[in-house]
Amino acid sequence: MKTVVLPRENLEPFLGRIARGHDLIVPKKTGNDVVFDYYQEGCQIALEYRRTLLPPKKFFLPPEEVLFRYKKGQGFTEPEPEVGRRVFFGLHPCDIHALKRLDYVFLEGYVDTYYRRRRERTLIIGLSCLPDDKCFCHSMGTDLVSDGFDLFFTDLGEVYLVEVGSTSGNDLVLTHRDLVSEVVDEAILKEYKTFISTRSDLFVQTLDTSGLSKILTLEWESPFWEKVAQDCLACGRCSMSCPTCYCFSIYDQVNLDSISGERSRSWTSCLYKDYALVAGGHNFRPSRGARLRQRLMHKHKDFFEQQGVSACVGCGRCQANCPAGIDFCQVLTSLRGDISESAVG
Amino acid sequence: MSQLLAKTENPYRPVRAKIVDLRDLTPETRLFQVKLVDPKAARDFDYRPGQFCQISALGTGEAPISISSSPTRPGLLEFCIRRVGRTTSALHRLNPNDEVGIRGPYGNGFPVDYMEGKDVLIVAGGVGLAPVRSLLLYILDNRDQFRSVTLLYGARSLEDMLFREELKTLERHPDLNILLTLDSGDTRLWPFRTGLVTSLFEEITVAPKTVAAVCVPPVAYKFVTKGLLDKGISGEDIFMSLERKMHCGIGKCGCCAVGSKYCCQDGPVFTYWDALNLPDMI
Amino acid sequence: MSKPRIGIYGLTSCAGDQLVLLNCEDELLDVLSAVDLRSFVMATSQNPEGELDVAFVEGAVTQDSDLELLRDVRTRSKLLIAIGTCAVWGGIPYLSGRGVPISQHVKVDYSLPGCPIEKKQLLSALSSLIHGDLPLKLPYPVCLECTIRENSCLLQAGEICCGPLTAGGCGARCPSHNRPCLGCRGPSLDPNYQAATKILAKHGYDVEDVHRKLALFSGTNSSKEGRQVG
Ligand SMILES: Cc1cc2nc3c(=O)[nH]c(=O)nc-3n(C[C@H](O)[C@H](O)[C@H](O)COP(=O)(O)OP(=O)(O)OC[C@H]3O[C@@H](n4cnc5c(N)ncnc54)[C@H](O)[C@@H]3O)c2cc1C
Ligand code: SF4
Ligand code: SF4
Ligand code: SF4
Ligand code: FES
Repeated sequence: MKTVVLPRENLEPFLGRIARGHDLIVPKKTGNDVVFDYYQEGCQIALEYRRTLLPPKKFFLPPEEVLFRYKKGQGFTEPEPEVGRRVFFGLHPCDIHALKRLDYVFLEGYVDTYYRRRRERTLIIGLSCLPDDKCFCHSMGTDLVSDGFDLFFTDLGEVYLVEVGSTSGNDLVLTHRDLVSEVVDEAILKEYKTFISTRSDLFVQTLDTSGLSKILTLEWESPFWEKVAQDCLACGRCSMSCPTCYCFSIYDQVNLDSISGERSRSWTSCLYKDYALVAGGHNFRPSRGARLRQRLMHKHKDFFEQQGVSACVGCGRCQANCPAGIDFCQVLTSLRGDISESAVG
Repeated sequence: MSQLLAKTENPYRPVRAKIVDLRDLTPETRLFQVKLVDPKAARDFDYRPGQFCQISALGTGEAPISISSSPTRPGLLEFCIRRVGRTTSALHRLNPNDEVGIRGPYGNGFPVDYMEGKDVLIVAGGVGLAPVRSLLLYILDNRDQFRSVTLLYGARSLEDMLFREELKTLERHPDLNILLTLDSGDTRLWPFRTGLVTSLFEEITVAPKTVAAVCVPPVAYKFVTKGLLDKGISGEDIFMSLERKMHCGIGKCGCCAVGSKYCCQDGPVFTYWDALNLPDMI
Repeated sequence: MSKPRIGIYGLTSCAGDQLVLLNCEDELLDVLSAVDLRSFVMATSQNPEGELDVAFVEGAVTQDSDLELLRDVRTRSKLLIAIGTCAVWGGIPYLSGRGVPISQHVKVDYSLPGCPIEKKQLLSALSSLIHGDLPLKLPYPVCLECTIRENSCLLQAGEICCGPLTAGGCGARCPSHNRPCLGCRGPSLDPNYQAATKILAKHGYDVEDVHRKLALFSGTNSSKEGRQVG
């Protein structure tokens, strides 16, 4: 892969210039939090953030979007799609992997045209990170990325090592060649190696994934699901914040004139009671335990069986944000029998 | 199989269809005959028995509904729609010439090619007749491709039985064996028996190479499949059309998931063997 | 299609929900031209308005005259919609031991909770009703909208936030202003009072205190269920 070097002091000018020609999305500081948001002149870019509450998916599958407007006798019309190039800067490796997982869902089989348009108009610039005590991407094999980005920046202190992942990425580099250097010398290589090993030593949280999908299959009937779910508020915060939770519902809203209206979709969660409830009152997942189990089964078993990789990328958002303090890694570890069930919760 | 839409087009976009005729089948269930507005789309629309469409009542919503007509009789599409909630009630308010939106056909449908050359046993309960009627008509129109054909159909009462008149006529068909039962009611009403649909199993003998197609209410699958297994039908040859909550119909929204399968795409027809491998399927 | 005949009635309440409708300045004319509005005042039990397609009822039943009016409206209306948390859940009058939700007296076809109700929800409900549909039910708790707004969680920070127990639809108004959700919209579809109590007990709160707080608006359910743990 082509690799170049961007001196640290050139990052701001680099992003500033990109912002002139594109919609630029960055990790932005707001109070104590960091959120992905559109860049504005003078905004504070968080270069060393840990994790955002909402993942990048909100820019590809927005929390709520109008699919069609309709008018009687005229059928369904799509709203004008957003146009123009976007550059999304600052995704950590787990979030890039997560987008690749979403690509399986939305671009294979029937192509979700809404998702595809947003994906196609967006360049991805990754950014290296250091883990906190909730990250377990190294267990999920998502701590590093080798594709799925146009550029990837590794923070080596004085400079960023920039991997070029696509021709579009290369074009960006070439357009701003006055800001980068093509020389990757021994010293930089050494620093990169040190960075990689220092980073991997920092992980605290781990998850043993060997045979996990099979263990989950065998633990389907475990009473432990209901026990853990006693603490679950069914708030949905874990699903909303998960970079690979993609469930949505579709609904219509008619206008006051009764002849026109909108069809929209919005995020939902398998933790909600009505999620598998059908007309007539039959609920295919009647208990909280069955719903919580669905979330973990889908991440670590069902998606794995479909795509050969887990849907969980180990970003730690679900457990960092659960108001009930449910630690999914602990739940899984205890189902493996590696820690006692009473130690959970 | 031709889809209504090429893969590059927006798969959520319904096409316009006009209601040609409406007929009440039971107090809650109405037969909708519809025709796609675009003549080319109407001509090209092909499907397999057991597939379904997402039907839009403009302004209210969409609902997955099985196609009740057979692809062997092109032109008009038929849907039996039971009024149970918002969208189905809105569909019931429509009149001939009103428009609905249609996407599909979706799902796998019954494996008619595999069923060829075999004895076919169809088991249906209540509104579950809707998808298997398509199969029944398909078989009738290709009668020489199949060996014996038996339909076991149960409804709560005479009033709740779909296609009563049609079934009475078919009952006399020399190449079909039709057994009808009512949960309760007047037993003297020929040709109806009383009792659950499973009680009809006592009256039939099952040939060695029999495949079964089943569509019954969710709670009944366990009993029906047990009965079929007891009759010697292999789990791989029991095809069940299952119901789940659906929104997208195309494997995106997640809400119809059964283990690693999506009911809307990998189903709605699953075998008993699938059910053994996917917990909570039936 | 003839215009639906609509009546709006208030039992014991602050009339706040009726005000929401009056405040829909931009849409009020559209609403008025789409419906046949038969009544929009604190009506008496005489029924000059006759048969109705939809009756909106605000407030809780606290006195005989409320009950009389409610029963009369019910017999005259095809659909009866409870608007506001007082009508839906009993609300503040219920807490003071004086009121009960109207569903304890008559059949309610649909409930629009909120204190006051949300303008957007009212308009979308009206549009659906005019179209002939029951309005959509919002199945999610306040936390969904709160998370979508990327608020950091107050409950996690140890405040008594009723968000996970409370029906969504308000856009997480309070938590978005850094104030815990008071539960003014009444219980969500699947409130887990025991779990909420357990979390707050871990944060050092007195269980009785938590119950009182959780019961403020959604008194009917939370006190009952919550006490099973206490
Ligand atoms: C593959 C399949 C084939 C079906 N075929 C038929 C048929 O031929 N005739 C018939 O009468 N019914 C059929 N159903 C059931 C029918 O889809 C539901 O009764 C209908 O969706 C209820 O919608 P509603 O808006 O009236 O009910 P509400 O309860 O108001 O439902 C609201 C929404 O929930 C979803 N939903 C609710 N119930 C179901 C359900 N049972 N299945 C899927 N989604 C649901 C829909 O998205 C619906 O828009 C079928 C269901 C499936 C999955
Ligand atoms: S399941 Fe949790 S840790 Fe895994 S990707 Fe989703 S939010 Fe991150
Ligand atoms: S965030 Fe925690 S409490 Fe909320 S739904 Fe998820 S597991 Fe349950
Ligand atoms: S602040 Fe309150 S409403 Fe928001 S997520 Fe936390 S508990 Fe839910
Ligand atoms: S209905 Fe959306 S995935 Fe099956």
